[in-house]
Amino acid sequence: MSVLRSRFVQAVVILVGAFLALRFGIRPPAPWSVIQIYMAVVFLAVLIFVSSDTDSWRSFVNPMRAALVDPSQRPVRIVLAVALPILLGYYAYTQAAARPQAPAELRAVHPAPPGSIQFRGKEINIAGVDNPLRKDVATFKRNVAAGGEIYVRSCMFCHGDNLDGHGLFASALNPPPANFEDPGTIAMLQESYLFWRIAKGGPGLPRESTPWNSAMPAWEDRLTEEQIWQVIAYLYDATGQEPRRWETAH
Amino acid sequence: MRAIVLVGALASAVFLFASASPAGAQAGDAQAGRAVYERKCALCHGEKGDGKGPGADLLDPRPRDFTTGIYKIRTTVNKTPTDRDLFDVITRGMPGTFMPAWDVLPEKDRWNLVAYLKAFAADKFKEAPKKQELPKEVASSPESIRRGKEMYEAIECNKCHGAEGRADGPSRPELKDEWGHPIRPANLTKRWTFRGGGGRAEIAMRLTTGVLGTPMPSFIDSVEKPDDIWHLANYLASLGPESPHYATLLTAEAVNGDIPADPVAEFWKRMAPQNIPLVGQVTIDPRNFNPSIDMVALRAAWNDKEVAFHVTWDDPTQSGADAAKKASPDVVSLQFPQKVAEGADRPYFLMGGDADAVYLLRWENGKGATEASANGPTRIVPLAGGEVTGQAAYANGQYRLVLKRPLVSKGPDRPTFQPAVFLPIAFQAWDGGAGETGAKMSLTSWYYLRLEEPQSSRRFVVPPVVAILTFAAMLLVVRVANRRA
Repeated sequence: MSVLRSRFVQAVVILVGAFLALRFGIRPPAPWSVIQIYMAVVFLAVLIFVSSDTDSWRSFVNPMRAALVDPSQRPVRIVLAVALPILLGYYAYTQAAARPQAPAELRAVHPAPPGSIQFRGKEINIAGVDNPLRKDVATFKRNVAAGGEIYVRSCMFCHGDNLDGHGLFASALNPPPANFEDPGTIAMLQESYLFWRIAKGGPGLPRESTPWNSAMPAWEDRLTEEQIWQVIAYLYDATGQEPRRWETAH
Repeated sequence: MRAIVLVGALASAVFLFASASPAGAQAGDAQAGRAVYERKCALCHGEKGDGKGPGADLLDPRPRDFTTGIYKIRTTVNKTPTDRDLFDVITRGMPGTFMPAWDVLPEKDRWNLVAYLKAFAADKFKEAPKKQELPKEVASSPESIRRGKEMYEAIECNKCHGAEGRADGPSRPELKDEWGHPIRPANLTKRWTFRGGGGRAEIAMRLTTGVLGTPMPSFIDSVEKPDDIWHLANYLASLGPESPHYATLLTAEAVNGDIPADPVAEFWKRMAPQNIPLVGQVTIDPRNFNPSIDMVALRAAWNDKEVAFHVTWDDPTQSGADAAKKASPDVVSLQFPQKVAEGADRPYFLMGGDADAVYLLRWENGKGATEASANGPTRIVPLAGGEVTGQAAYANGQYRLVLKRPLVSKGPDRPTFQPAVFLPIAFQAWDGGAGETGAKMSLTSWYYLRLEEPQSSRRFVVPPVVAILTFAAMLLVVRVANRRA
């Protein structure tokens, strides 16, 4: 297999193989920008590989030089002279005719919570607080059921019966309603964090979380302190998630 | 006592149907289904299956009352649905309603639910389901669609669904379901909200079996020939797309010359609509859990002087303000920040807040186009001396509206529209005929609008230049290489 022994062919095979592996071997597909960076690294590595000694470098460069000067390679030259300008011209067209995309919304999804909040004129601690309803095991189930009733009358419209953020009203909202089944939401938050988010809603978010975009109402206007703790208990019970614990003091 | 009755009912149901399951269906375990039901379904459908769960009274259409054994979506001649029918409804949900697709549940759970649902009305399931066969399928074609339209009028679909299918027929106000609740006819131009699915075969099946518990009857005996069911289905499928393809970025097209003020002008028809979903306002009172207007379609254009917005939306009733009848007008409004701020800051999406006002381009039936500034839904202040003009047309359950404004604003209360800038935009709509007014509306959160710069000729100039330069560079390389060789 003399063809495969040529450094040029080897370099091409490595580059093509690396591209195919990056483009089709990764699930979910990697973004183009990432593939570009990886391909640049592979290309550099290939250059180092082919230039490791003089023979190797010659074996790499010779086919290219032959394509440029060798009289017998004239057809290759003609094909390249037609194909390369067309390819680059097409690329230039896709760039010049591209339509702009909506700018990315940079937004802190889970901003740092305040130490305490004012809830209907009462100060409620957020830091270090767990759901007070969990203390009474006997009534906890009843509180979960009450939370379910609150959920279906208040939250379900956007967050959905499945608690997956796909309520009927979700389609018009950006940012989309939180998906409680996702391990990246309530499972990584303390219960009092949820209390803050439910009580103060979108308008209570800090600036870096774009409070003007969020359609989450401030539920302190409609729900009592106990009702909010009930609906929090329901969220964890219905999804089977565990609330994050506060780190114990050192 | 109740438990004993239930267990008895379950036992008889399981006994009756375990043997009669059609192909593909699995016999479910009603007792196992009960556990799933109580966790996933009871909050709306009620623990007793009577459709009176804690969330039920806010929903329209209301959750199904399983104790009646009446099911909308079936593929049977008689009133008994097959297990597969029930399974499919659970799996796909009821599009356009708060019943979601439960395909997140394991298939086994869904078959168990089917068994449990049947136990709520075991006597209704004593009669075995008789499969409805459809006439031989007729492919869609212009002739078939024409024939379907004839049938549509002949069998009086338009009485409820309206002349063009937008649910605006004259019988609309009188329609009641089996339980006496008012019911809205389907908007036939929005197939993605069809409860039993928007495919041609599914439509043909609904036409054949009817929709039980609603005023929609079976039409298989009303049409002239059985084939007409397919012609009708083909016609209905031609009324609108199967999916709304909601837009994410809204654009206004650059045009040379005048932009027509007439909303029915040909100019607007050749522009593709950008569909935007609207949902009920449920943040402040009065909340709107069952909004009437669920979508607007935007077309927009601008020239060197002005920007024009063409808005299309379906509203089954044309209503204006009438103090004597306490009637509210139909209104639509486009919302922008008063100033285009640096960075991401913008006013609160729900018509602004105390400190940050929004600018509204409003159109009201009977009053026309106005400009306003708002600090929330209840604090709307008209802006004087505006230059906004509006022209609307209403026909067959649909509004079409053109709002025009000069690009450059006249004062600090109004934004200036600049090309190639991402401008926040949001929408609100009120169906006065459905009692929507004030905070009771449907709305969107912020979108981006961009006035596209004219498609420059750059895209035709740059590529040939690149190609020629590449060719020249190659010639040079070959030259140099030959000289060296």
